[in-house]
Amino acid sequence: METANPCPSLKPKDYKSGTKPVWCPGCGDYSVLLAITKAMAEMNLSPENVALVSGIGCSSRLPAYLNVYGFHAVHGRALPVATGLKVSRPDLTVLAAGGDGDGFSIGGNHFMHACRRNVDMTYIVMDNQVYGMTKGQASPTTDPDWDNSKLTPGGTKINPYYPLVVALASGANFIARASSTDPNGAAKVLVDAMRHPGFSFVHMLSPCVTFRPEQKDWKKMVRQAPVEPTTDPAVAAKRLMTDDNFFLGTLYKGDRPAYQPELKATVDNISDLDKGFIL
Amino acid sequence: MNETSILSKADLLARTLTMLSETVERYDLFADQMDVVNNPEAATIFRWLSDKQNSRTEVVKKLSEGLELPHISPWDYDWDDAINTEVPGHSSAHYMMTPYHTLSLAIDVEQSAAKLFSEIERNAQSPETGKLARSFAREAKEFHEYLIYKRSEHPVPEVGWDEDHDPPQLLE
Repeated sequence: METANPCPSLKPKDYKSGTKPVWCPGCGDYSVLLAITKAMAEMNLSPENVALVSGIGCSSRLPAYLNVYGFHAVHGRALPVATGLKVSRPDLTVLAAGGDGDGFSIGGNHFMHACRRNVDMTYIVMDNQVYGMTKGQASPTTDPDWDNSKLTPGGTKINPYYPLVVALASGANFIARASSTDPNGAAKVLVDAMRHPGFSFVHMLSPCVTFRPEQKDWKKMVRQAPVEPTTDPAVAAKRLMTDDNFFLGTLYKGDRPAYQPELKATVDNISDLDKGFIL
Repeated sequence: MNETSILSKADLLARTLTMLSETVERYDLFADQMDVVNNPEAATIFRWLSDKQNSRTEVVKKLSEGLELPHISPWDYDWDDAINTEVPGHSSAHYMMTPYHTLSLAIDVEQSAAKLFSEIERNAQSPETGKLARSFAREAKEFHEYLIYKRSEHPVPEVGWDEDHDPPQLLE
């Protein structure tokens, strides 16, 4: 395989912190954690050169479970923090992660602008179409007729958000979907995403077995997209607009140069920094 | 795992080692999960299963001594929850699972492993690889039969075993 590392010196478990996850038994996020560690091992990344920034929610617990630098940010604000980190430390491999509520609702505006800015990082959204941590409310990606929450009797009756379409329209440079039901396949997508320059968006299907038990059937519904990644946004747009949400693999690989501002020299002392603010 | 890609003894050992060690990690994880949800019966069985698989891992490690095992990328294994169950999928666990369910999960794992190794034996490109695959298949079958016996010591769960009278749903 083109992305294989001939001989990784670290094993996937070396990227785990030892803190035991408290996700529900059966949760898809366990597989996502495994896929991330497998991807890092395949890339032979030094843990001290990797940072993962998350928002708030079940999936945003990820940094605690990894042996890399981590930051558990404010709700919906993983991307601004990750952006700041990457532009000031371009030598790091930066990942951002969170759930569908955190990424597409509370942090929806940041998602669009992170795609537009095209800073070189990878954003993993673990989508289970529900707010799990707050005990099961409809999220932006929930189907309009899902009515298991008493907050939305009869369903939301609102069309769900299509994150891949929004990502393409906003300028993301790499768009892919993976599934927690196939952590090995997900690891490959993550390796490709981390290696691709610019903003890479990975839509990760990750069932919530507690509040959306019917999502266990996703493993029978996901399938590899029968297409090669395209570099043509028009082809990608058609592909994503007709997507049924269960095609896996890399769907778009753009060639926009990543945004990286010129770094200013570090100030020697705090009073020098102060001068910059004097009118 | 793609049985047609098993070309050498070292390749078979590398894949088997990964499969077994991932199974050990998964059983350990399930045991920890069952501790958290106060299901000590299932946790105990998962720890026992982990010990058993760990012993098999040590045997395979010994067989691998002196051999240079190839590195195989995760995506070249072709196993996942939907297709193969040589490694139990994360979604197999349930917080209310009984000892019967726990052993059933392990029975599926061994059945799948036995089938896989038998296929490898049939398609083996060298007698040495075939012989090794046959011994792995036999081991998996024997453990599979033992697990069926162990499971018979536990009652078959009644319909509605997963009904939670204090469900984690928003009630307000």
